[in-house]
Amino acid sequence: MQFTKETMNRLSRQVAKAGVVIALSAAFGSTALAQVKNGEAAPDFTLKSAAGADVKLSDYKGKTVVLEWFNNDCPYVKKHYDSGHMQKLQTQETAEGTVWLTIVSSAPGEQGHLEAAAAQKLVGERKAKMTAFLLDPKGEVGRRYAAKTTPHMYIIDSKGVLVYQGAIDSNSSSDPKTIAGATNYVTEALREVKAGQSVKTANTKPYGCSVKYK
Amino acid sequence: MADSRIYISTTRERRRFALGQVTLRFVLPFIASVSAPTFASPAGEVVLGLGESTRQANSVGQVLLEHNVLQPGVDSQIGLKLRLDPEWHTYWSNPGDSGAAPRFEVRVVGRGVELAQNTQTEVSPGEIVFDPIQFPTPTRIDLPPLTSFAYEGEVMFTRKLRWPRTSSNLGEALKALNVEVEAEWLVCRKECIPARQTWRFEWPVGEQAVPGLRQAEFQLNAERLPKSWSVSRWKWEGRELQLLGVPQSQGQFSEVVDFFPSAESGLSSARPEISRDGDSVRVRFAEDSTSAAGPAQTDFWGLVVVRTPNNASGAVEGFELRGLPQGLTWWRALLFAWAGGLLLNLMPCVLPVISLKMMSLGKLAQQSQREVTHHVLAYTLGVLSCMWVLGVVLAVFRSTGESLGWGFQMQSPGFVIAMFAIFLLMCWALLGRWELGGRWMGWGEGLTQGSSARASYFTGLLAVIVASPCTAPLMAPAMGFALAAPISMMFLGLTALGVGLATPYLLLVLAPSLLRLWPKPGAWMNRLKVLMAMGLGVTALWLIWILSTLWTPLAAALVGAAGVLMLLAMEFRRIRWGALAIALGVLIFAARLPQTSAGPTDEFWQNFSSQTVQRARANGQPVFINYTATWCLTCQVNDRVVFRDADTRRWIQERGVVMLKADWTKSDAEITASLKSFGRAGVPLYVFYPPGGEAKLLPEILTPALFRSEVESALTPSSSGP
Repeated sequence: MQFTKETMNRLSRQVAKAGVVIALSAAFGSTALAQVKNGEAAPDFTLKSAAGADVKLSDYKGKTVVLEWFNNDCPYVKKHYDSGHMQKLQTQETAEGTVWLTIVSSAPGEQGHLEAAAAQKLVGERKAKMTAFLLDPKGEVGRRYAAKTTPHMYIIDSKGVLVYQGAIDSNSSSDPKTIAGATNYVTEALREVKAGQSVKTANTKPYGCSVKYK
Repeated sequence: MADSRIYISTTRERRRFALGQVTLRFVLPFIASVSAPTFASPAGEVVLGLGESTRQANSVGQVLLEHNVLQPGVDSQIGLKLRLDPEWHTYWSNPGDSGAAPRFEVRVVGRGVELAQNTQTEVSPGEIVFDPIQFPTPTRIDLPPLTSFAYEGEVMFTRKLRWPRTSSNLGEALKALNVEVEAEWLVCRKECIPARQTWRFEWPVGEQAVPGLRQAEFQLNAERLPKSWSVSRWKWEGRELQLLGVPQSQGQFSEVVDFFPSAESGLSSARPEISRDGDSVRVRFAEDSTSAAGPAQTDFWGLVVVRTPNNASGAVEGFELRGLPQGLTWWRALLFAWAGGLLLNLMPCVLPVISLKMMSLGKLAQQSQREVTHHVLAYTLGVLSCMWVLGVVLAVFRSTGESLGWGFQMQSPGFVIAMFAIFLLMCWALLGRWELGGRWMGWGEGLTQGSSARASYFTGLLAVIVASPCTAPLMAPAMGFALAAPISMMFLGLTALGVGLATPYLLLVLAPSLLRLWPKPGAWMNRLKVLMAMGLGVTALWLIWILSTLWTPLAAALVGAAGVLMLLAMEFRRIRWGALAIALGVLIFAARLPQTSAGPTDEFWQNFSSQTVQRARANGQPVFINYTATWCLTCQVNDRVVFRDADTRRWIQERGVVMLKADWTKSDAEITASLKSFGRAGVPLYVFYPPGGEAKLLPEILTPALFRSEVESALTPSSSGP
């Protein structure tokens, strides 16, 4: 390779780029998202709930678990909560024995971040019926599950295997009027899991605001 | 611009116009905002008129028109222009890890207004079509660990308005379109705010299209739209996209720097790893829980992002990657093209012309072998030169960005009329009626029963011209491959096709002993001549029928009459010039008649459009698309045998299959693009989408049983995912 000025310039630019990337990743820790594929065991985690308790995913082994990523200020979360649709879903499913865990992965200072007291108050205000409202300010659980948007839904069956991940329904509009006509992937998947069938639509592109990681 | 009719010409009009604009843009909105409580307040609930813009979600949105006055038959565009506050962005069709693509719906109701009465005319579906949204190339916005494809500053989303079937009735009654635009867009910085707005206005229709005041913006925007990636072949290997044969940096492109996957592909939005390996570029996508194995089947994969040459500052251009990867290796494609050409000899389009060749060969069989060789080679040369001319035409069109398909000649009425004339003349000549004047004699001989090499050459030319409507079974994938491949490949493919067509006769050169098998000339030849002449006459009638679907039946009948007059002119010397003059007059009259192709519509089929397909698939319905044309014999035969069969229709209706007909009789850019996305360049093509599944291509020659078994096997449940 000829060490012409052009090559040197290009090389030094690339080295500088690499240096910046290394520096940034060192500064902010692992910025990449891991991922869990459908059919794999859902990774266990421990998070503090808004009520102050330590909640472990493995506590719920033997039950179907729904994970819902949440950001109170996101218009897409508002679409489902202002209309009461999400609360209705939570009531419906928890009545059948499903465990519903709502998780907030917003970093401190970012949109949607909640301290325990504020979180408790919010659950009351929203009349939300989740089993537990979990706080993940470091974003570790969100990153582990590759949660990208709020809302982003995951369903884990009673054996601890991930069977659904993606959007809550088929219409990504922010207009609450579109909820009625949309196909709710979560309800359908839960129905199939209950009947012992495999989930037909197991992987959809989630929509919503980005999760506000650190 | 040729026609730049300016609305405002006098000072008084100019002042009035300015006053109107001030009122519209400032006074009225001010009054509206001041008296807000009396209107439905939330931003977006107020319906705006055309000139009004909306400020919401840190952006300003407005609707622009390319033409202030529409002319039926002349395409136009409608645009949604968004101006975003600094630091805020809005999204591409694939927003990336988060965000939402914009929605831009346009609906029309036609309104005919007579001065005396108010008549309402509904625009029937299919008479005015809005193409899907065109997105300019976005930029990648990283907000680690997530990434998005978005626009900052300013962006305009456009939709083309097309008139697929110009009906003169519509043109006269229609004075304006009532248009409703419903738009939704998401604007984000870190947090997101959705915006929604509806506009309702009248879009005037007149005899002459009048460009709008902002037409220049549409032209500028067209430059920001991604072009098509046709630089090289490509294929998938798992999660890696391989672009093969990409020119080095000295050529047209400097570097492939990024790839923005489409929403349908299901690929990870994360920045892919790009590496060069010889003359291929590998784009390796991150593993994403949705597409660990490989991309979902789609016809729009995304944008290849390339740094333009000599541009270190980073200006990039996007190119759309569409279509099925070319699974056919080049030598297999050539083989198929050759075999297809061979089969063409048997197709009803080509047989009449070949029959002419048979005549002269019969005569030649008695002569020397060298003569036969001369004739066969002349024939082959005729075939090949016609193929090469076709290749040049296709190459020229490709370089200007237009796409033509195989069989495009039959979409032009002029060509069909010319062929009709040729066939009529040939038929007449074969019947021995053509013996007038020395001038005509020489020409007639040259075309038909002459024994000169030139005759064979012309027969070869004719064979190719007439073969175009018949896509032999093996030809469809080969031609699709050849026409989409680099130009040298295309010419090779066309040559293989020509050689295939000429092969039966080339065999005579290679194995002269076959000649001895040729029956000796006798009375049977005259009978055969008459039979073949009848065949030619029937083909001429078929061409008139095709013309009746391209134009109106009346116009086609007139052309037929003109043809007959022409023959009479040749037959009877006394009335010759008179008859010719009348024939010409009739032709001109026929050409000036309004061209509707309003035939009886079959309720069984719906019109094809990519939106209809998307909608039906989103509803989970199975979709069947029949790409056909009236001039395509294979299509017509399949149509009659399979789709008109009552039992098959019932079977289809039981399964709730949405049946779409993509009629390619006349040139249609949307259908051409759709064909191209399946790696095809001609009709027939039969595509079946099972619910939630990938497209399945059916064979070109269908029987009811075959159709049913193919659809049935596609419907059996398999593991699926969006």
